[in-house]
Amino acid sequence: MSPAAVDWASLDPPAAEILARYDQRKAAMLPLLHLVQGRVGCIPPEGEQWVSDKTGVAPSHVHEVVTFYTMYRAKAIGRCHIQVCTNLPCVLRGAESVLACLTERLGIDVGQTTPDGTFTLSSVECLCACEIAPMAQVNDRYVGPLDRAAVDRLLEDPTLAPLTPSLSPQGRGREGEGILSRRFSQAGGAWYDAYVADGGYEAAKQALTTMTPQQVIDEVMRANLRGLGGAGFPTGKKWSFIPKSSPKPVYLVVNADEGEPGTFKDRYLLERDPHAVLEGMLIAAYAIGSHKAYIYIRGEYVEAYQRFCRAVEEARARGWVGRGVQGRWEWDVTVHRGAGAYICGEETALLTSLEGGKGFPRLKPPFPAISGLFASPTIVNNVETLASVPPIIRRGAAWFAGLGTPKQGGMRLFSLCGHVERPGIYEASAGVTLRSLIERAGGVRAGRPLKAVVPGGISAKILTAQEIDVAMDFDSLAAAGTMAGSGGVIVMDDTTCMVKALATAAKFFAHESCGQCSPCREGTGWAYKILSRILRGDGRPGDLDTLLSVAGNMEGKTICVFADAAAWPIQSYIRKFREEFEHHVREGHCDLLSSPVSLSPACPH
Amino acid sequence: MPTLTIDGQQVTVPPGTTIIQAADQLGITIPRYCYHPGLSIAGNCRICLVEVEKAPKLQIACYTPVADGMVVHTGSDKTLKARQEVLEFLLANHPLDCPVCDQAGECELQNYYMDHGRYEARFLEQKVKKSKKATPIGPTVMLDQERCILCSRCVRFTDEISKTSELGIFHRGDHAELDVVPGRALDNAYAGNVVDICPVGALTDRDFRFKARVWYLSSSPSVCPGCSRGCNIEIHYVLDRPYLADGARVMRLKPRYNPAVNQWWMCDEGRYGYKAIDRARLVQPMGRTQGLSPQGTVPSADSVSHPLVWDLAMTEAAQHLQEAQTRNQLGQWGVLPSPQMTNEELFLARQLFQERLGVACDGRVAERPATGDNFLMTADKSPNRRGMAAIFSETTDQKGTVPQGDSPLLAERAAAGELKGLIVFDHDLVALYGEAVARTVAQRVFLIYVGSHDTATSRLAHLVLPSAVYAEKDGTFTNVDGRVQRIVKAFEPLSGARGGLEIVADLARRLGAAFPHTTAAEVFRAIGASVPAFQGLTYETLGAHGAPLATAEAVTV
Amino acid sequence: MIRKRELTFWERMYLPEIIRGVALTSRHFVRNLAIHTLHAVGLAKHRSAAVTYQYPEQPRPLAPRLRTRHRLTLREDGTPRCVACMMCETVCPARCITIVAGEHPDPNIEKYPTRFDIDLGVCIYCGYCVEACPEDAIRMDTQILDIAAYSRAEMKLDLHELLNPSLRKPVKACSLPFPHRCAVRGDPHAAGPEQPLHGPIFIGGDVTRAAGMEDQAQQARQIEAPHPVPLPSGEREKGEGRGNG
Repeated sequence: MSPAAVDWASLDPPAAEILARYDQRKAAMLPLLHLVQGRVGCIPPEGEQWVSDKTGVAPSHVHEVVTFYTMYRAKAIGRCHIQVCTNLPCVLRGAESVLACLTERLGIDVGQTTPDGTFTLSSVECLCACEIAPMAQVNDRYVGPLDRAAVDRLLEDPTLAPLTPSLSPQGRGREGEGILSRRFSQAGGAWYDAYVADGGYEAAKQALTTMTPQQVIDEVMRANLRGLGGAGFPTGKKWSFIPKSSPKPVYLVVNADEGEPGTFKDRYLLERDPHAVLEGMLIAAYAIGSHKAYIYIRGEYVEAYQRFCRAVEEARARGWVGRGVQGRWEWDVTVHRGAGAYICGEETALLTSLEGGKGFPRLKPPFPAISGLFASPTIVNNVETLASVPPIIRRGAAWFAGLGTPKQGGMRLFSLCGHVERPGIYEASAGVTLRSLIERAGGVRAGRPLKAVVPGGISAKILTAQEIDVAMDFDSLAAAGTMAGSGGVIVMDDTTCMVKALATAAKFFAHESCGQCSPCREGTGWAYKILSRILRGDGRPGDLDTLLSVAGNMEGKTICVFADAAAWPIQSYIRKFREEFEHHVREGHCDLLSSPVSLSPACPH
Repeated sequence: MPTLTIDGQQVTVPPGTTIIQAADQLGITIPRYCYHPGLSIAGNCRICLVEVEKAPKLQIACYTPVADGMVVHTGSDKTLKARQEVLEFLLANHPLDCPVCDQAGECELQNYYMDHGRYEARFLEQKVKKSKKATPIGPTVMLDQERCILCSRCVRFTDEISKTSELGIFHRGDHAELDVVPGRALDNAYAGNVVDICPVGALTDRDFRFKARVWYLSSSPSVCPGCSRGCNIEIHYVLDRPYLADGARVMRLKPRYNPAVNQWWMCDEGRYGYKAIDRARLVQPMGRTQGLSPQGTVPSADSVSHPLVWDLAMTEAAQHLQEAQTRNQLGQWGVLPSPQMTNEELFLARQLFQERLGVACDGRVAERPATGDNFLMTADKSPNRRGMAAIFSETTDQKGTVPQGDSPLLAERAAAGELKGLIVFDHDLVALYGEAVARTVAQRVFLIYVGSHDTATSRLAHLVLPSAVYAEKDGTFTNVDGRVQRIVKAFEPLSGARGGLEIVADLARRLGAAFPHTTAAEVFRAIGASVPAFQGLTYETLGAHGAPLATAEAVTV
Repeated sequence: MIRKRELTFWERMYLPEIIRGVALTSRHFVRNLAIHTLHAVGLAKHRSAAVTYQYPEQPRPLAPRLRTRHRLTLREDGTPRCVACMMCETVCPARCITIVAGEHPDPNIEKYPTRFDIDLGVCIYCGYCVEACPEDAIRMDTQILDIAAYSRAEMKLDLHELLNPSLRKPVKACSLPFPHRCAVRGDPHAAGPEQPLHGPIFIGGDVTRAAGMEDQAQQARQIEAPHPVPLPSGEREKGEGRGNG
């Protein structure tokens, strides 16, 4: 639809509905922009003005939001938008060949649209579907793994459905059925009746009717539940930071902006077991005294968003959301979509984004528990963390704590990807070793020797093949000089060029830096430029020292830890694979016999 | 009240004060880009990182509140190293524009680099290219996106001060760019202030563009005469390079900080009003007859105006007044003082004309409609109306009548033929009353014009005495809130012009009524002694920020 | 200590000394005359006679580092490299440089001189301007030393001469503001029809066309351009320079 033909008045009813879901007008910014883009195909200046009028935000700041997020576009594109992921896990499994194949078949470059307006080709960062790597997002759907044949089929009929994953999780917990992943086997998702039949909402009933909020907090504290988004902060302790008496409303915000490359566990929870998350949210809201919860789902997770909305409606219909929940509690849930920015996974950036702005992390203090969403006390929790809460309540803190290590209780969903035989979700105790996880995933593909592993998402410092006997809990990995992070395990075999791997990581950080503070903004771009140059064969003798210096200078100087996260891969890859980097700089190329696996008719699995 | 130690010096400050503010109070200047005391805190440039004992990381001084017992080191090795590293990041993609950039000489990147940088550049890559280089984004502001360090001061200014929100930082990462929102221009009434606050040459003044290098400029503090707000300013001028800017002396005005009047800001109308200082000036006395006109007569309107030496011009003026005095006709003379005049000039004029000669002084003229806003601009476009009211409505020992209320305006009386002579200070009768009335006045009375600019009225006057503008004299203005502020003489009056004090004092001397006070400071002390509203005020007590009238509420304008 | 020697008898006679002196001078004279005569017919080139440089036909060899009359260097398209940064004007101890800047249509160059005068009568030939210049835009390597003129005003050089060292004296024929394409007469006193002595020369450069950047500059300015933005009223475009002299 051309912008000139838009009947803006017809958008008023859905806009009113959206505005009613938020405590403040300006927070409707992102969903209203999605609404406009859904209707018009892009967000023209009139669209920005329309959103400005609805939200009361100045047009300059609306335009800032539109240009900040990857998913919004000012101009229309082709009917079929093929967004190929070119982040590390996908590159390890041949994403660049996929891209080359597509550019060749379509006859256009990345970022361009075919002359007949059918296809637009983009390269994007991690879509968190690494288990089906190499993959792409085609309009709203995830498709993968892609090989030449799959690409051909896709181009013939873009609407062709199942190039979608129907992987069942490979993980088995100690009990044989898993705790967090017990309902993952249904690709279509476990809905209300199935959930209740499996003991769902028992914990919520128990918490609301027999426990005080403080008792809930204490139970979660005793369970040693740690934040599973990546920081590992004790969840019960975080909940206890909420001031007991505050004139302002308390908010629960769920961080479903999963973006850490190598991680896809939250997606599985949202798509296949949304009620587990919702029940955890209810218990958490009760514990902290919140009557309003927002769940911020990353914009690219369209399927997860739709399924979670369905779960909320089911729960509402059955009396678990809204007024009179168990006769004790009232709360509401607003499901909010992001628009494509990894930095919104940082909790204060998430809050700023939720409030309708660019995803700029905030200066701290104050911390969100004191002043968070709409300057009110707020708890931000990860999806997996909240999904762990119902089991704690139902079966007790002691049981949960005993499943893990003395300092980190419970099970964890580990995302195995990269050069493993069977990429996927593997539920295991927090104290499982990295070696056993890799073995459970079938070991390195095709029996090749292991070269390196990233144990906790792309920011985690890399481990060599000799260092994989470490337990995967937060404290053990920290002691080993790396981090447990989001539990995303990226495995690299001996066909991996570490310079290429690091350059891919650096590309990610340069693309996702919000640009607010100078060390990160300039440092991430600088590091990527040096690494690209080395890859191209133009490396110079001082480059590695400059890289390490740039990385070290970014650390500790910034508003949030993104810069530190960008620095750690640079520091660890170069330190542990120094000869390989020096060879590259000196000789201008790899010393590997083969480059990463190229597309072959046989599926990489 | 917490007490903290910065670089070994102790200071006690109110709770909530940030480290950077406490350091400023001690005279220790911590480098800053995004911090500005008049704007909200952004904390994004990171140049103000300082070492705070017992803190695990360096802390930004602009945001960290002081705590009792805090110990801060702003010059330790860790701090200096961090500063150098942040500078390196800021300069990584910064273009090598110093030779062509107007900010050179007052650029904070240059300044901090010279103080703390001095490193070998290691950035060998292609610098980021941005869309707008040397592009006007409004009538007064030029943007260069590549020079921008994204401190966001200007964005915060347009959000919080001018409240017009034209600017934003779009995109993200190192491709983030400052720009006006598409479809708009930076055209609010205070747009020029973003040039002042931009620490680098990203936003530069189009009016000043390429006129002069800033190290050629001298600075003199003064007060803007554009309206009755009296924003404090600095006059930046060059005297020894007349080939720049067509021989104009003043290159630009900058606001000067005054917490009680204009804080850090000034409006564009006042900022660009400096051109009047060097344009269309009267530079020599003019008369309409060859030699002296016969006393008591009015030279014909068709006579040609020609230059006179000062002595002749003043003699002619004095003779006309003496003649009138002899014939007891001073009651048929009038003086139109102007709210453009300083308090000192008004006082001398009052003493001479009203008290000693008994000539009616009435500053009321037909009002020209103007509007103010709810920030700095007032509807009264003259700098000293309150001063004029204070000095002329509080008279002692008056011999002449002071017209009040509804009595006819002097100009109207002159046009009606009731007057024999009229001395006009600054007012342009043609603009106020129309050409016809002004011509009538010129035909019926002996019109003496004392003013700085060539106006339609000065061309009608029989005797023109060129006076100095505000930049060329010492004196004081009283602003709309009754605050008396000093203006300082920056340079000599242009060509043959003379200061207003000088002119009135000379006239007094020739009329045998010489004043004992000659300098502006002495006149001001005399005002303090005789006008109750000014009691207790001296140039020393006025200081840099002025002081309120003793009866600031009492006088109404 | 120098012992004062008494003159001998013959020395006191003076005449023998005079004869000796004349003989010495005559020997040199005859030798120079002979060798110069041989030079005139092309012989005895290997011998050199009197060491006088026969200026102006035979100029004295100058060291390349000698600071001589200034010139402004050119880019490949003939426009001056100078970006009117005023470093030379600022550093000049004699204050002999006068520069007025103008807006260059190429935003990557941005600034250029519309007026650049050097008063050779004031210049002390220190070379600080060359050292200060960040663009290598001014040099004192023309090896031109004859700058004499009939008046002080005539010793002021402007952009014409500075851009084109073969124009040695101030050119009075042209009064156009810079930049312009100029057909300039070399000798202001020459009689006869107006003839371009050296052909059309880029004086100040035809900055728009020569730069070839007009289209690009236009495009860059039109990216998201709002409504046409007027300059403050009464201001002329910075592109207009001043006349020379």
